[in-house]
Amino acid sequence: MSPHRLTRRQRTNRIRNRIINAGKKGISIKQIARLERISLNRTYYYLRFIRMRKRGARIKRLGKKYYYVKPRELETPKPTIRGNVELRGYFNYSSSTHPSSDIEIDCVIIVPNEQQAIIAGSEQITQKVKQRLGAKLASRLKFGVSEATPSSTNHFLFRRRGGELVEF
Amino acid sequence: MNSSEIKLDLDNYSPQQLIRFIWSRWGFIFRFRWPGFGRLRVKSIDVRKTRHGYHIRIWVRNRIPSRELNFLQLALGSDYRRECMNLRRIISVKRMKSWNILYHYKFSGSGDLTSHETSDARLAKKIAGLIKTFQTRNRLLAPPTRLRTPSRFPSGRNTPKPATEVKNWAK
Repeated sequence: MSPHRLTRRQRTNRIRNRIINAGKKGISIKQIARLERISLNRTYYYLRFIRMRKRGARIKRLGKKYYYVKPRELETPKPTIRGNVELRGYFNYSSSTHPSSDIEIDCVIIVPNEQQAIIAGSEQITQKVKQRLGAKLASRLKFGVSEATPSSTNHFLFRRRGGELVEF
Repeated sequence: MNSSEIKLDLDNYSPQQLIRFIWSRWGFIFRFRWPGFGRLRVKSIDVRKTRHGYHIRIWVRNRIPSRELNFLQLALGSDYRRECMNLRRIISVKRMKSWNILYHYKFSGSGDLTSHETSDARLAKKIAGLIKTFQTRNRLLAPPTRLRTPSRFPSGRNTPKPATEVKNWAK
């Protein structure tokens, strides 16, 4: 093997470290490709292996950039302080033929106004919905970020068939 | 719960159409004293462009009750589906305190950005000018009073500062 060639594991570790070192700023796929001197397609190929590993380090994408989300950040709820934003995970489905399958999900958590924290928050909401309502609904969640007000609080609500809201 | 922030979601408008719409509609609303909150006294305006149209935030000195605010937003031309859903939240979901939401950005579970706000200071300035024109008309109804410069944006230090401030608003 040529001394300039790296094994898959070596290349994957290098890319993972680049994402971790990018920290709050994150790193785009083009930046990784240029620094590693490999093609974009090849970079996507290696990223697939990084993202396949569920345990330990988590690499998440928001827009064009990849961020490293520490596993412990998924668990700590953030208190309401100034400079925070409201992250809402929502899903509304109303069937015209089967009203029994109507569902509304509305989950809100307050997070610091940082991309990393927002991704960690979205992951937290997804996990919570996954536990309570299943993976299929969790995968269909959409997220929105808006400014936090003094009245905003964390809540996880859902309702089926237009009934009462249930907290989970 | 009373609020002093009007949030409008105006979809499918070009800047010219938006100005024409505001010119034709808003004068009437800004002219009169309305039950519940009185005549609107604007502090500042922020306009942001989104994927489908514009998000406009208007900070006023009045304290507007929830249902009146919902109706006012509809009258000012905000998306009717959004306002209908807001009304539903106000009436049926008592636990939902923050019912009036405009997202800075939206993303899917896979991390794709579906919508993103970008500031449009030029349009904000134009709209502020229009409101000032309505304000000048109001001077015939009520004498103008010099107001203090608006205080800092209420939501926090990381939130963006309003693009344009409207001064000398008639009381």
